[in-house]
Amino acid sequence: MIIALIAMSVYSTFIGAAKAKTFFNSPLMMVFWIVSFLCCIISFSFIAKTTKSTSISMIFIASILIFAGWFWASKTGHHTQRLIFKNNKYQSGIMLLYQDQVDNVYALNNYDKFTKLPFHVKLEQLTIDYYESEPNSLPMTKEFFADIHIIKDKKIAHSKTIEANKPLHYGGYYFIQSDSGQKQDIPYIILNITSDSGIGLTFGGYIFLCIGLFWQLWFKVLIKAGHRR
Amino acid sequence: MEIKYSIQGILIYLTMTAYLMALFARLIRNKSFTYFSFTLGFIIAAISLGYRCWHTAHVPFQNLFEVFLVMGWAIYLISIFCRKTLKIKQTTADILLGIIVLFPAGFVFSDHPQQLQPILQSPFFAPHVAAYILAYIFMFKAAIAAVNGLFSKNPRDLSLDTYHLICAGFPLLTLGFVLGSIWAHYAWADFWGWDPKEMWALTTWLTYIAFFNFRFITKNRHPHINSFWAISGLLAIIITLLWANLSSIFSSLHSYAT
Repeated sequence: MIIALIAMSVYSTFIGAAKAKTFFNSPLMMVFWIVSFLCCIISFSFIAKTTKSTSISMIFIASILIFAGWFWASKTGHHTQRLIFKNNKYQSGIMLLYQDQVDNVYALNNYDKFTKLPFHVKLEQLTIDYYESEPNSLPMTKEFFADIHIIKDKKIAHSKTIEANKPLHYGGYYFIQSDSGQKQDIPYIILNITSDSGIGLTFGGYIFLCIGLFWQLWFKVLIKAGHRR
Repeated sequence: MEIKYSIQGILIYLTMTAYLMALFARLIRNKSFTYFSFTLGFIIAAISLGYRCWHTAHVPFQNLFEVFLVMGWAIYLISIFCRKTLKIKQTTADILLGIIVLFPAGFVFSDHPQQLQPILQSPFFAPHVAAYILAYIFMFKAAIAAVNGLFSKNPRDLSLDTYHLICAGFPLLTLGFVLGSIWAHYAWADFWGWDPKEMWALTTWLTYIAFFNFRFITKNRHPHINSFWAISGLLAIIITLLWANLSSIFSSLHSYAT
């Protein structure tokens, strides 16, 4: 399983991010993920019985949480959510928003399909600061700020200034600025809209994984090895 | 290849000279001069890093020049940690590694200071890169022990050194990986982007997972195959660090790291 995953990871580096995402989310790969997930659970029950080690159990629980989180955050996971919860939540999309424009429609799959958010988004103001540039060279962006309002029932339900590494999180979605510019003197931004499904599970898994690995490899194996030598 | 005539360049060449002196002293078996020169090199490397921080006004993790500069400094600390705590003595290899990692900083990559892009102004930036740098040095050392093990009459002892060095580096490698994923979530609203650099990092991580699994399943009966996994891990690191950043084959979101 691990060797197959290594081979597929190496293959995916040569085909680019977009094709790799499609490849790893394909129905055939879903079968692979489910089998891997089951292997993880079987290994966990076997190793937990034989070693009775809390740190190793934490590592296996982490693997299960990360698998579950990745699935829930995937396209198939969102399809499953739409079937079970009858909601209209998609994995990710983009929205073009001009200054003072209010909208709730965003594009999926490179503008193949459009869908609506359960609330409206307004771009209040866009500010970009640049580093001092040398003559004859384009200035480099230092910081950018996009003041965004979330409008629900014709009232401002939430406001936030989006900047680098500080997305807006509202109503189960994250909003980040992926591009910006000006058209006929009107500033605009392209918002990247991503669902927050599966994030909690994945990040919970990450915490378990780090604690489990440091505990097992640093505080058990290495300290014992240092004493023995 | 270019020779740097800047203060930064001179400090790098002085560090390399001190490390070369340590290597020479090691070869003629002068223990005290070896450690004196190695320590002197470390002090000059620390001054060089301090100068870089002051000159660029940010932590020196932005590009490959700075990453190699930090590696040339951190190798000394890891060498001491391995010698004192893990009782793994690889002083000659450590000094040589110090010279090897400083070579690209001294002669290949530009030391022209760059401004920090908005995405790099994140609290995850420094710990993410620092965890990876430390992990990479441990894995480099593990691969050296693995190569020695391939040609040794008693490969089991060196296989144990390889295992302990990977045990030291792997949690840091995982921490770097996890911090990168969390940072990507805040920067790009996507904790996994299937980007070539990310996929090479995953390949590296999985190679060491394969090492642990193989060692556990075979109960360390095949130290040569364990060595193969450790060396494969290093190859994956080199590709992640260099090829994925510098080659035009891989169009990556991580292009700022060059």
